[in-house]
Amino acid sequence: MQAGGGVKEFVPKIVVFCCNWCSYAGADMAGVSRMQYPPNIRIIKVMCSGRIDPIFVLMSFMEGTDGVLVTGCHIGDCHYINGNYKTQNRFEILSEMMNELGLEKERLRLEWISATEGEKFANVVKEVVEQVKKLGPSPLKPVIE
Amino acid sequence: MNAAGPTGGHIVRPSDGKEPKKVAWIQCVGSRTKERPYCSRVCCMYATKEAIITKEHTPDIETHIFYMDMRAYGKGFEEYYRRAEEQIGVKYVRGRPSKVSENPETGDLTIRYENLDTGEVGGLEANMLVLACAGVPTDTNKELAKILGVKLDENGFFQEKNLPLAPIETDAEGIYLAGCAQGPKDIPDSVTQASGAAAKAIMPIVEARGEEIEEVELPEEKEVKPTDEPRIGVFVCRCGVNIGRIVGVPAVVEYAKTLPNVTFVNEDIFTCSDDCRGRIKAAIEKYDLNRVVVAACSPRTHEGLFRDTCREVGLNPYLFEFVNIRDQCSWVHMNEPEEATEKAKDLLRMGVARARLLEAEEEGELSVGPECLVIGGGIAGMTAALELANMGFKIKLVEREQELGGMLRNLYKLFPTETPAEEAIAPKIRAAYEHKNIEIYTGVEIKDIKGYIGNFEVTISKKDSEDVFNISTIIVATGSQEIDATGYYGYGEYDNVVTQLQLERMLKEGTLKELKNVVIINCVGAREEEGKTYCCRFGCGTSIKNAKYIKEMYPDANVFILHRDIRTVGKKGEEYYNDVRANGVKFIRFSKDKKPLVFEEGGKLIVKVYDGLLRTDLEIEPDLVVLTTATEGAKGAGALQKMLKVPIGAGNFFHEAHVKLRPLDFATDGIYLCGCAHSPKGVVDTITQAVGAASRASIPMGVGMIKSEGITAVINPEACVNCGICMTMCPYGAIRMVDGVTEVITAVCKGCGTCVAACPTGALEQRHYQNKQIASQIKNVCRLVVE
Repeated sequence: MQAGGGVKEFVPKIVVFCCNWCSYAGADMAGVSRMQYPPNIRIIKVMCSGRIDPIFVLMSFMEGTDGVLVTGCHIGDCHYINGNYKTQNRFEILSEMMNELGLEKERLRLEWISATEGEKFANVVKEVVEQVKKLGPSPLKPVIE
Repeated sequence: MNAAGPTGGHIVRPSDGKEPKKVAWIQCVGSRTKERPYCSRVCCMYATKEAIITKEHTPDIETHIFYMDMRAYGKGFEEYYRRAEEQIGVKYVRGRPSKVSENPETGDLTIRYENLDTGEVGGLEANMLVLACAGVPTDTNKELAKILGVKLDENGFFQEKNLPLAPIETDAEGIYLAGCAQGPKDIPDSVTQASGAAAKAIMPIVEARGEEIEEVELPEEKEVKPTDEPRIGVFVCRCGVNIGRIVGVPAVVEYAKTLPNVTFVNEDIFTCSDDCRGRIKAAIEKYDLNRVVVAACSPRTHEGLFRDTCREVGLNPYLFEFVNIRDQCSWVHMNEPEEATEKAKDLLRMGVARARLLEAEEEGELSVGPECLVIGGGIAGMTAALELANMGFKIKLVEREQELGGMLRNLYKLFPTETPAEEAIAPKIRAAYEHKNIEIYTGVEIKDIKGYIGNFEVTISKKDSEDVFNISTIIVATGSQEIDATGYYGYGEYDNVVTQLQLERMLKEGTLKELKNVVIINCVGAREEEGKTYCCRFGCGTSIKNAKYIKEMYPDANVFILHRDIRTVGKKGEEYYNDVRANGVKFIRFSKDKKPLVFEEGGKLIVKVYDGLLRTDLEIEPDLVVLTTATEGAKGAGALQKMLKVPIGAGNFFHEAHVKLRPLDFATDGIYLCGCAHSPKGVVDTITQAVGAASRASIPMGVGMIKSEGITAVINPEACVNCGICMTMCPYGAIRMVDGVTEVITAVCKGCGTCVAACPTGALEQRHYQNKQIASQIKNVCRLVVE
């Protein structure tokens, strides 16, 4: 186990939800521009950030990930008119629930990233990884392992 | 450096097979010379790319590029060049080396050069030297031109009918040009011209469009039931060295073999190649695969290709899964090969888990009518509108100004042919007004655009009235504008500091008073550290052309062009530059760290500039200073972007689907892009792009329909409690209740899945993005979970 021994460095795993049109393309743009960021994230693509059921976020924590980054198009840019407004509403509720569930709020983040913002994608990932490293392993982790 | 090459991507010296420690490049070898005066246009970026890859391959290799002008003129080029210099550590030396000698014992080379930025003379010892040789026409051009009855230009490339107005046509009717046949060019420009040539080629036979089409016969789809045991084929790509140098592909392959239901695993150098796709098809048949996973570049560019590959042997395309291990793995973790390999394994595990649960889906069809909206009535918009109108499509051409013509209405003559700008636009304006298929709206604003390909609803407003119409496709040709130069070099403070656009008007109107000393400053607000980091592509040409006119009007005037690099890349551009330089216009180079100063002293305007070659400050007392400013997307671009929901990037220029492969499309179906709305460019490139964009838009309109993805929502009526939450979520009104029963109108559903996320009972599902499919990915992030 990574957390217990105190010998091994904590290597967080973070789930990133991306929408097909903006943030997934932004993540590709980071690659095309060779922007380097820490290898701790695992991207899951959906068509619209509005598809991201809050259960997916909770499930990610239940399965042992240390952080979740939800991304989508900038407000006003949603390919599906207003899907990201719904994402924002759902995120706010989820964020409120985090403490109740015994998780730090800072493990969950929402960011709008456009198809051209490869640099922003890389920077956000760096920040999230840094933040989660500071927090240490998810408290839910020992429960499930 | 090609992984498929003789050394397997390893860079070694030809003489002894040893790895070089220091590699040099010399640019413009045999080009920009008396014999071949033209610029080969691609080599500056090729050398930069090669130097970057060399350093990525072996980080401690030193790379030196000797160049004359760094021609990073295309979209994203300047930023790429800066990254090479500032982040990767490629060394750039301005100067054309005079001599190269070899040490016969070591095989090392000494390159004698003069650094034109510092005046320093030196000799660089290198282990290997790469020559960027001139791009020359193909040997067979002469013979082919004779057979076809078309002309070659003085350099041996095919001669276009008219520069800049007809760059795709030849003098012979029915024969058109694409790519480097017409002159050296890079991939985006070649793809663009090829699209344009396709549009031109269909014109003489346009009435027969759609006839005698041979349908591709596909084998019947084999039935794959959700209850069938998954038999998964995994294909891991090395993408030359792009993936394979970072990610331990053999380890990923071994890992894939351990995953549940994986029946067959293959590793290839380029999985997208024809022969590898042949191997995928053979494996599907031989091993009776019912799922295929490719771990490679990105689904954004290659998912369609592999879906087709599956379908060609009867496997439903939705039984294919793409795992992104290049754009989102090897390219972003270049210094962490072990972690990148672990990440690739995780991603593959998630992909295989999802693949196990994929189901065959059916695609819908959307009808696409023959009507196109062209936004912007400049040279780009008018050209695109006329091309489509000539093919028989119905066009609505919308312009915010009171007149058609765009930026060219303000210009005098065009670089490098000196064609009057009026000559470029007047015939098109007339033709557009006379064309029965074009409806022109001037002095209007676009208020709103809703919908999607085949069914856009557009609201335009003119004074007090509004008009709403439906349209099938859209071409964005909104152009660009000069930035506000206030604050640069005394602009706005001193009366005699003007922009190129102001100078063009003076030249056009004949109001330029007699001048003794004129200073033109290039790259004003362009190629900056932040913000407008890009090159404006046409500024060098504009400054040279206008310097020539001033010199012609007032031969005794001293005309100085202060520049950072001269980037005359287009056909005839370099020749024009040489001519102007030979005829007395003085060129002084400045560096980004030592920009010129413009100030007033004792009532006199003074320009002070450091001349690197003479290694001294020069002071000039000009009676006119002309600023060649950066450009930015037109002022309405931001609002339009919000309506179209398409991406926009640095400088408010629109962002195409793929820089190289799809330069004229947006990622969104049915919306296309041309002219300076895409990035700054001159008239030749604008016209070529406009014809190309028309070509792209004509495809779905010509076919009359496109396939819609099998990703729409479906309702399980047994689980549905008819609560109606989904109806409030759907942005398209695609869910309705009939007699108390909720149903999805599949033809209206766009497949965002937001209703599915909101459904409290799990009755709604999104095809291909089912809850269980996404859950399988989530569960497999941390460890193998099989359910």
